[in-house]
Amino acid sequence: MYGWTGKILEITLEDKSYREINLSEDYYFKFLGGRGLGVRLFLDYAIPEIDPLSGDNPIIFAAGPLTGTVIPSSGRLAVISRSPQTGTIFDSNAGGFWGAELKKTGYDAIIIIGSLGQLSRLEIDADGVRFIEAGQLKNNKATTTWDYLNKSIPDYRHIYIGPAGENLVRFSSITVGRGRNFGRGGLGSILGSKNIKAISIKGNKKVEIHNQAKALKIRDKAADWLEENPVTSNSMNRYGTSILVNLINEAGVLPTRNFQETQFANADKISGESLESKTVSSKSSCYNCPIICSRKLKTSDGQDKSSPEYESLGLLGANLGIDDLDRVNHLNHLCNQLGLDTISTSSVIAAYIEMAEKSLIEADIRFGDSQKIEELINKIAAREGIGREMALGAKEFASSKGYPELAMQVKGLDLPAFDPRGMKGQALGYMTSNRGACHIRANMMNLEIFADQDKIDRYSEEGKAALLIEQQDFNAILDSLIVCKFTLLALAAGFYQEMLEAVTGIDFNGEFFEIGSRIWNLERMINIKAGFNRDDDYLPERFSNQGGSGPSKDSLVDQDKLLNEYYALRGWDKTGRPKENLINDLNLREIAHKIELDIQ
Amino acid sequence: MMDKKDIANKSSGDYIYVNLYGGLEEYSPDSRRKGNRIKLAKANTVQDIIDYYQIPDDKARVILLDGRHVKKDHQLSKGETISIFPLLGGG
Repeated sequence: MYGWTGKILEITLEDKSYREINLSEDYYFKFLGGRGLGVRLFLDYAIPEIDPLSGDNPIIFAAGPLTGTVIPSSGRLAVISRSPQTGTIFDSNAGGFWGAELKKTGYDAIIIIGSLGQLSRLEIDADGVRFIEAGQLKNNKATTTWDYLNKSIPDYRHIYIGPAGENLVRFSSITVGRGRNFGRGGLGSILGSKNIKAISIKGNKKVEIHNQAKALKIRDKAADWLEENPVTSNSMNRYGTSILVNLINEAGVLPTRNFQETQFANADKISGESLESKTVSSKSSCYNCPIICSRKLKTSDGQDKSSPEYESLGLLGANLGIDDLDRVNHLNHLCNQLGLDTISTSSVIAAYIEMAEKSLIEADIRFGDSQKIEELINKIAAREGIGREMALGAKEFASSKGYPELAMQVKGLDLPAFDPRGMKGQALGYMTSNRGACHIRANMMNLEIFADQDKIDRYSEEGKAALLIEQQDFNAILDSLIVCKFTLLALAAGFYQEMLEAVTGIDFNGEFFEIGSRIWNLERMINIKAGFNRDDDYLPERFSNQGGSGPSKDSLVDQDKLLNEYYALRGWDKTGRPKENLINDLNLREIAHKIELDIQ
Repeated sequence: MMDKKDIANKSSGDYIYVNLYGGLEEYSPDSRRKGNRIKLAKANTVQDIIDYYQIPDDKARVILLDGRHVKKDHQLSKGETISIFPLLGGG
C-alpha cells in the first residue's frame, strides 16, 4: 500500500503485550484513516455502551493516509475513544509531530486496551514497546513532564497528561509536544484511568508515496494557494486565531458571563490585536506546515507561555468576565499546565458563578474575580473541595445543584466561544455534532460571518441544514486524511481528492465525498446504540427564550425548525435515527448488525 | 472618491466613528483601532471611509454597523459607528 502502512499496533496493558495487525483494504477505502478509521476500529474492541473509564474502553491514536507525507499541513493526529464527558463516540484532533512519527514507525494506528497497576510511561520504536514505571512524574505539570521526557529520550516525540488527567477530570486534555493539546471530551482522563502518564515514539521508516512527482506538484500548488490567501499567509501567522475576538464581539456573538450576554464591553483589551503587542518570543508550526499559526509569549515573570487561541480568550476572558489580558494569559497557561480543556473549564466555572450571583447557591464569587477563578481551576485539577464536583463537568455539576439549564452544553460538551443566537447554522452545528457542542465539526462561522448576508443571512434558519451537512461531511474527510482545516480557507474541496489519489494511487472516482457521510452516520449510529436520541440534540433553553446583546438582542434559535429540516435532509427519521436505505447505501448494514442496532 | 482634505474640511460638527481591526488600524493616521472619527457634512458611503483611509478594497471584507453587516454603498448617517475587518479565519 501507499500512504497507508496497512498495519496497526495493538497494545494490551494487562499483560504488557503487543502485536502487529494487518488491516484489510476495506477499512481504509471506506474510512480513510484518522477519525474515520479510529471510529471503525473502536467497534472491533468495544460496544458503544462501554464504561469510558474502565480498562475495557480502548483509546486509539490514528494517523491518516496523508500524515507524514510531503502534503502540506498533514501533521495532525486523531485520538478516538468513548468520552467520559459526553458518553458519545469521540475523536480529538491536534497538530504537532507525533502523528508523522507514528507513521514512521510503520503503523497507521495504535490501539491501547486494559490498564496498568502503576503510573507508567510507554516508549514505542523499532524495537517494540517498553513499559516504564513513572511514579516520579506523578502530578507533574506539563512543563516539568516535557522537560523530563525531552531530557530522558530526546530523539522521541511525546504526548502526556497533566494532574487533571491523572485525577480523572472529565474534561482533561492530552498534551502533544511542548504545548499543543488534544482538547475536548476528556480523553486525558482515559490515559489517566489506564495509568499512562506519557507515550514517546520514534520511527525510522519512510511513508511510501505512489506518485512522488505528482505529490510534489500538488504540494507546490497548495503552497502557492496558501501563500496567496490573506488568512493562511498573513493573518494566521501574525495573530493566530486570536484575531477573531473583536469581530465576534462586535457581531454580537461573543459569549459573556455564561452566555447571559453576547457582547463584552472590554473585548478589545483581550483581543488578538492587544495580544500582538505583547512580546512574541517564538512562533512554531506543526509537521510540514507553511501556515505557522502558533506562538509563545515572553511574560513579565520571564516565562515562555503559549499564546492563547481565540477560544481561550473568549471563554477564559469574556465568558468569565475577565478583561485583564495578563490574567487571561495566566489562566490559559495554568489550564495548559494542569491539562485542562479551557472551554469546559470556563463553562463549569461560569455556571457556578451564575448560580452564585443569582443566590441559587451559597458561594462568594463574582464574574471577573480572576483570583478566585484561579483557585477554582487548581481545585478542579486536584479534585479538592468544590473542585471534586466541578471536575465532572458543567452538565453534571449544574444538574447536581438543581439547575441543569445553566450548563451551556449539548451532549455534555460545552459550547465554544461563538454564541449560537447570532449564527443559526452554527447553532444547528452544535446541536447535531456527534461529539456534542463543537465548532470544528463544521465551522459555520466562517460562512455566516464572512458571507454576503443577502445570500447567507446569519440570523436566519432557512437553508442552514443543507449548508451544514455539506460542511460536516467534508470536515469528517479532512479529519480522516488528516489535513489541517485551516487549509480549507485557501484550497478547494476537490483538491484534497487529488492529494489522496496521488499519495495512495487509488482512484476514488465518485466515492470520495461519500466517505464523509459514511463516517458521520456511523458515529450517529454508535451514539444511538449508546442511548442518544432527538432529546439530546437541543441547545440549553436560554438560546430559545432569551435574546443576546447588541445585534443579537432579539434573536432566538428555533431549534425544532432546524432539526426537522436537518433530519429530513440527512435521511433520518423524526427521532433522529438513520433510515434503513441510507444505512444500506453507505455500506453500513454489516456494522449495524455488529453493534446490534435496530434498523427501522 | 473624496480625499482626506475634503472630508476633514467639512464645516459640520457631525461625525462618523470608525473602528479598524485586524491590522487595518495601520491605515489610521495615528494607528488607532477604536475611536477614529471623521467629519461628515452630507451623506457619504462606507466606500468613502475606505477610500479616506486608503485601505485597499480587497482588505475591507466585513463591515459592521452596530454589529449588523452593511455593504460598501451603505449611506452613512451622523453618529454611526462603522467597524471594518479584513478577511479572517480560525476558531
